[in-house]
Amino acid sequence: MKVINVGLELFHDSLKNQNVKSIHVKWRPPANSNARLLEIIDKIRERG
Amino acid sequence: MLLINRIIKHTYFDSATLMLVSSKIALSLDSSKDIAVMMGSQMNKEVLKHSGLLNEDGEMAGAGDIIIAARVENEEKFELIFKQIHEQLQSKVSIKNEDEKQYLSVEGVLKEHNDIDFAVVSLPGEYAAREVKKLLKQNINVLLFSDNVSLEDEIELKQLAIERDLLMMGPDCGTAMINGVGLGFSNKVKKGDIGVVAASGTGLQEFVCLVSNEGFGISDAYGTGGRDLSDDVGGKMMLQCLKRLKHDDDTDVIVILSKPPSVEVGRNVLEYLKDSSKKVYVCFLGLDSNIWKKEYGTIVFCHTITQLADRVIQDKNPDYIGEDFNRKYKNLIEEKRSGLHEEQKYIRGLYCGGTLASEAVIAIQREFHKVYSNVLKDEFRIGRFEPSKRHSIIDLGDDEFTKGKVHPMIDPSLRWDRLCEEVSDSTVAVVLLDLEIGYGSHKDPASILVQEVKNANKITEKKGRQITFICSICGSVLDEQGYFEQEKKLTEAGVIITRSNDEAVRLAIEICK
Repeated sequence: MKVINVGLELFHDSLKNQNVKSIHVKWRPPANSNARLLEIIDKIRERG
Repeated sequence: MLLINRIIKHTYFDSATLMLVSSKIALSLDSSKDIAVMMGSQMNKEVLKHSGLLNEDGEMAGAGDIIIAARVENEEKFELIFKQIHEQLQSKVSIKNEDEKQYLSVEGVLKEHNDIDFAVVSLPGEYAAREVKKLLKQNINVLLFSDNVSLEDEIELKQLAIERDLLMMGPDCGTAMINGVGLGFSNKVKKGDIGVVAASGTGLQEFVCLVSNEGFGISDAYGTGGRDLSDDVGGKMMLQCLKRLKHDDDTDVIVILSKPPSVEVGRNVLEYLKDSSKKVYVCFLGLDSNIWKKEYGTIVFCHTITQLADRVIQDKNPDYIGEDFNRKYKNLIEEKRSGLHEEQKYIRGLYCGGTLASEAVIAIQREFHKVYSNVLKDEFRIGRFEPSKRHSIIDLGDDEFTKGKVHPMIDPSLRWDRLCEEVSDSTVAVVLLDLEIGYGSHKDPASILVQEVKNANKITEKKGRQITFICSICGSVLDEQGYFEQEKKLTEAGVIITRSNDEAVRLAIEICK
């Protein structure tokens, strides 16, 4: 199994503890983030 | 006193890391209410404002900035606090990831890795759905730990997952075990042929640990999130998970553990399983299963997590005889009853596990009718800042209680403030507790609880009273914290340890009768 961990690093540590391949994302909020606005932008992009 | 806020710009750490740092510094300075370290999201700023720790400097922080807030005697004290916090955060940056490539986005990972099976997402709720969508579109199964995800998003994400035959476990899903790997909070358990679907959290953990500790193993254990069995979501992920277990050659037994479903959703789930060649066990906590027994006679219905585990174990091992509760505890019950003052009548529960708290509420309601709790929604609900009354059960991991705080499974010391209040109440006879071990949990939660119990006993001894502390350990005997070592520490401190939460609650009820 190979896992991507996005968020709390303790879950990434737990997976490494189990000898599971885990890739941790040092995620941070997008700059000038407004979650609702980002969703709208995503939808526009999807429609291409 | 001075209220000072300082911002560290463009620096992100996850909430658990920041709160553990804050908690450690606050503890060393004996000022848990006066120090906070948080990201500058709108929700966190509201939490700080509510706690009286936000000023106009902190208001300027953005979501990608850290706010360090403290109420101190003078600026020199603040500089000392700031220096310690800064050093702690710096050490976390330099220790971690020296030999791992740093990825700053989901896209960055997906560009370089096309062999990922699962994702664990534990972001702030307002951002989580967007990232989950990216992962599902790359055919990656998801465990969504985040709460505060909208119902609308949940339905959309689950629909997307089902179209691609994927799992989208959550939101608010704490635990899953996939082919021997624990995701989120989980435990080291035996591998076997028992497949489980739960909401999920500590209920799932307790069940898999009880069966594993008796020698039986788990094939896979899935979580659906707490809203899945509502009419709105329609049991989408429950049915998706059951489909996997039904067709899995390694699964011979299917177990469902959940809050009560809506009637229609419950019926759909049971219909799906009624003709299964595999043995099926169901526990809808708090639901009178007699309504289903006649119609679904091939399915075994249980009322508590312990009963569920014992039934599965007994069917696998007919020689298994559980301990007789009355024989085990008769003398202890009499001893504890005789030590109570007249006004000591009530049970207080302080739980890290939500499902275990709910199980306690149901059992106490059945016996004493009135119980107050933050898991209830009616006139018996207790809010975060309200005192307990009569019999009260608090889920300390509930969203309202964890706003601005890390989950008590990560930092059990956060139970102390509330414990202090409960033991100071002269009408309290018994305090119920749970202790979680396993992956993701604190490395030695028993030591923290022992200290809390010792401090609590000092309070009650001054008033010439005794309170009985009863604790169930939610854990596997294979977990690295050491199940028996944890048990020994607590027993030596005078805490009564039970095999399961249901047993702990039953004991509390008997003492208070």
